[in-house]
Amino acid sequence: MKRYLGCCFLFACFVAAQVSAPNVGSARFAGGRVFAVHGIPANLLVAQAPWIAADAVSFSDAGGLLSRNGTLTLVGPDGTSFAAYASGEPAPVLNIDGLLSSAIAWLPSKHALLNWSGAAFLLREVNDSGFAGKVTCIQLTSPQVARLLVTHSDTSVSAITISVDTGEIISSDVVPAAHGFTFAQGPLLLSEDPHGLAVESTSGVRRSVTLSQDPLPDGDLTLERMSTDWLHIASASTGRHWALYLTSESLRLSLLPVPPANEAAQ
Amino acid sequence: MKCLLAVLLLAASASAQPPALTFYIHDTTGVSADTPLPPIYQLNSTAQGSNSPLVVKAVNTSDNTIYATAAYVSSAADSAHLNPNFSLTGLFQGLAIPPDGSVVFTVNFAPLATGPITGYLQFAYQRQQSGCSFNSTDPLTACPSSTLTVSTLTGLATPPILVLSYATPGGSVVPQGNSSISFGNVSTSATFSITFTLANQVAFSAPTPAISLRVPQFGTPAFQLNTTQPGGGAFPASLAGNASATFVVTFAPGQTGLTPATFLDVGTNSYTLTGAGIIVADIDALQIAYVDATGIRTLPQAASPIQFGQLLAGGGATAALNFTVTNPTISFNAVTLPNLTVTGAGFGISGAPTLPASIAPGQAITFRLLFAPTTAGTFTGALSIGSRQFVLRGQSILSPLPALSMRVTPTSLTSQQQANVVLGLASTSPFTALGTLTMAFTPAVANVTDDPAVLFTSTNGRNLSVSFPVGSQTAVDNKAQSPFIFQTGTTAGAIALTATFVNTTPYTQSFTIPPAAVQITSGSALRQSPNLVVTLNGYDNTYSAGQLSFTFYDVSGSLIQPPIQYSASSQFHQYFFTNNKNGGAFSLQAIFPVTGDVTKIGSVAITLTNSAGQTTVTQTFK
Repeated sequence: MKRYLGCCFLFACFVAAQVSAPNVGSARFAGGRVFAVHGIPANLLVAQAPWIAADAVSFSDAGGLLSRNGTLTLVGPDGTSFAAYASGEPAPVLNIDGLLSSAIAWLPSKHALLNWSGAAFLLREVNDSGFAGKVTCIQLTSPQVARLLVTHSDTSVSAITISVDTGEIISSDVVPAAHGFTFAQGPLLLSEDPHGLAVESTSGVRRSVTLSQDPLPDGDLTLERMSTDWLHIASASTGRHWALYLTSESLRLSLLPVPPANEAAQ
Repeated sequence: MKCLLAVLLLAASASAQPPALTFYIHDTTGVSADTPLPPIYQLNSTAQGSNSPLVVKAVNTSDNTIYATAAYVSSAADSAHLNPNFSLTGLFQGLAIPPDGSVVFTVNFAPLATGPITGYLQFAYQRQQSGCSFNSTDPLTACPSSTLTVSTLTGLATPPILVLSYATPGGSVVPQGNSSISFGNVSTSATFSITFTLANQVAFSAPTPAISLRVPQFGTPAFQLNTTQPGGGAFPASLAGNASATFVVTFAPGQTGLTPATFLDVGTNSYTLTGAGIIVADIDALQIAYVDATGIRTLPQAASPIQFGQLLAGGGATAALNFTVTNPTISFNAVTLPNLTVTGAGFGISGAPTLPASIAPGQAITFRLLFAPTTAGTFTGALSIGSRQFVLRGQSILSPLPALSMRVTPTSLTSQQQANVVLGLASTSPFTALGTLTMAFTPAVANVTDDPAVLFTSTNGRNLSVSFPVGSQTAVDNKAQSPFIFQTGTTAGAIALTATFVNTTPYTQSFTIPPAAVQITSGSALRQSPNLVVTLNGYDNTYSAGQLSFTFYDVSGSLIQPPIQYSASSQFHQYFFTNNKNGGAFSLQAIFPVTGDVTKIGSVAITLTNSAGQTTVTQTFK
């Protein structure tokens, strides 16, 4: 008689199964119109109408961080607003890649971090005189530490770690092989490549994501997070949009259908 | 009395002023400068039936706006009676001419008889001054009116160079311009022709005028003009001295009653052609009509070919006309139709009644006339409805574009693909051709009508504006991009891509999306004590998934217990068939309550079954 290890577990026979539409996230298109996107790789459906308008966005599976006319808003997965912060910042760098507590923003004009404590937005000024350059990405690597990716004038890239509690710079390291606009997806780094993007893992494995047969101009691409595992890539020169499903195990690039140009946000 | 006095004062005021207008002979080519039109002007000698134009320019030389009300050539200086030997073109009734402004018009000397002819060019106008109103009917506020005798026009009308005539049983008739020529009463099964002769009366060569039929705007002409010469060849452009040429006008009514007015134009002379279709035999009473594809109803005349329009050769297209043949209620007798035939390559008939057919008064028969050309060219046929004869005509053209082709990559399509399509030509496009590429999807799943994810990514829809630039063999979209990318969706079925260009047979290729076992694109397995949560994203393009099997393993890979079987048929069915906006794509979440240490559970193998097979995926718990 076959013995099962399961004798030490008790699985209820009950299984709760639910079938629903696969959610990809939200993507910001021309005019700042933000559309919900559903589907799976190579089979994407963009909503008929935008659900909001924003100047910058970042979404995870748990919610989103949006900036509109200098006000940052934290929203839940259904778009419900949780909190807002009038930063006055015209071009914040936003990120949320997990729970709402992973929401964090870099405010370039204020030289400050803004993060969501779970109850309120907290502002920490940072002495950024030591890392002249443009912040292209921010993420919380732990509840106490934020990491900025900074592109310098010579296109080299540095990773700056900062204490969220004090605003003190903890470390500054050059990111080898990265240059130009650089974005972080978990442990993976995405940076500009002549024909698209290069994705590099922490082990140094590098993979090219070709977006165009013709070389793309510098600064042509914009990346925003659609959800925890999906990134929205937009090319200003070609007018094309892509959705990149990117995890440590998988990379799937899909063209994103472009919504009609004249749909106004609700 | 006061009104009359005011009018007299205004008139006196107007007559006391210098002329408000100055008239010039104008050269429309601009080569010669304008010269003043003298009070008496000698026109060129003009043959009867010919025309000598005189272009006149009227310039407002006053300080006031002039309202030109009319210009005409009268028979006497103090008369408004029009002289029939003159006509005016470029008329300007009701034109306001500002100071220094002008108007140009043409006086045509077209004598109707020979000998010296005199006409008086008159110009009526109002002059705006003292706040008067041009259009006022109140004498107190109306602007003063004046009529100028601009010039006395004299000309010599010489005998006509070309004379038109036709033969009748009573002898040759020379019709006067604008007269009527009767073709009499003709059976709707018969025709009647008149041969006209145009003769040169002088010893030197003379150009011939244009000869044409002017037909009613919304009617079908019952007359037909044939200018082909008896020995063959077209009507001569000129006639040698004392030579002549003939042309034939045939009256072939297809309908009873007076025919709509038709005009025979010979140069500047116009003749009204009249005639009536009558009933001689019973069959002549039949009223014949047809309706084309656009719903326009036409009453055909035997003199005018029944036109099927233009089709593409070899395109498989067919033009159809739906005929109704009615025996009027007022007929005394039933009409027996012995035959109903269509001849001529490309023409056919369908839905005809069994013959001979008797049509009682007030009754009708119907049939369909078809034109389906297989080659390019002009096609002529004949329709016989008993003794009633009609000519059929259709045209078939070749596409101006080289042959279209379509290349789809990958060549074998499945669900959940973003495929490329390249639209090409067999050779370079001779011009910039604009067209559309459309996509249609036919699901193979019962009770499913569509999959919204089947679309072109650049438009988020199923229509794409495309073009072949001149000199190119590859079509591009409105961003000059090629290939075109489309999604195949997540539903089994068939995708048809159709390229459409003007005057080109639409080109279609269809692709089958075969049914497939459930495909999983991503998933996760999470320990959320006391639960295990398994999430799978993927698609089922058969919409038939239901049976699930979960097999759990510990962290060392050992089987924990027998697989847990679960039927999720109702959940999948509810999702797929109730307000589905995502095709076969789905997200499945299964939750297992667990008693014990969930950290010891390492992985789960999930098997999903649909009508096309089974799929198993493994997820490691985190």
